[in-house]
Amino acid sequence: VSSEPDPTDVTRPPTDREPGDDGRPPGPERADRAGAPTDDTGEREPDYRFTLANERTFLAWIRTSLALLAGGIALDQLASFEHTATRTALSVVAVTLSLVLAVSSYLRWWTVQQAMRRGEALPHPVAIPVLATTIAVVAAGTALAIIVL
Amino acid sequence: MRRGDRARRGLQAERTELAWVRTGLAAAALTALTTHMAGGLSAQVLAATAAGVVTVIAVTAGALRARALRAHPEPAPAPPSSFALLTAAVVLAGMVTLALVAT
Repeated sequence: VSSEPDPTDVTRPPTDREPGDDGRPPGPERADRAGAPTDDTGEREPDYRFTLANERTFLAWIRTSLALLAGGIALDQLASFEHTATRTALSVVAVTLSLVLAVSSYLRWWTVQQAMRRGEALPHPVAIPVLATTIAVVAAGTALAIIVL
Repeated sequence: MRRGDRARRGLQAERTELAWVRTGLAAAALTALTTHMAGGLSAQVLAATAAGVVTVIAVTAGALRARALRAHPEPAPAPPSSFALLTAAVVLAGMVTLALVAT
């Protein structure tokens, strides 16, 4: 008889399971299974694994913000085209996006943590389309400037 | 505690620790880049200070978090102040960079 736990056994204590290993997708509706109510509102501290995942996601967004900051500096200093105004404009867009992402990463961490405590659905990540669109614009602008200017 | 359970818990905490380490390294790389790229001594000092603050906060908060993660098998959430402080430092560094790029 194997001593390894059966991953499909949902009767195991919650802390014995990985998120999603009971055949259901991981989600905030499962996040309240481990904690006791934290206050009168009935909020519960989510399973610590979801909390750590939220923390890592925040850090990933912060690193994305730092990378955009570095990209903006590199664009300003290293771009091969001579048109200074275009170079500055593209750098400013990249650095401004990094500022927006830094603030939104904290707000997202907070709203996700609150949603998990209340057992609600996780909020939609609005920063992703903004990030993708702005990076595409900066990349296209840089490419165009290199070709034309 | 079964060996598999210990491994799972250890990996969750370990991944989070590594995420903090990566963030500290990214901030350190940014500090080096801004210091190298900034034109003029005063701009270099300003840029290095702003990015250096991010590095110090990321490394300190990461070290404190790593200690907490090792101390408890099911750790409590990190204090919101550590996230807020890191965010504020990145915003400060971004504003300094914005000023240096725009001028």
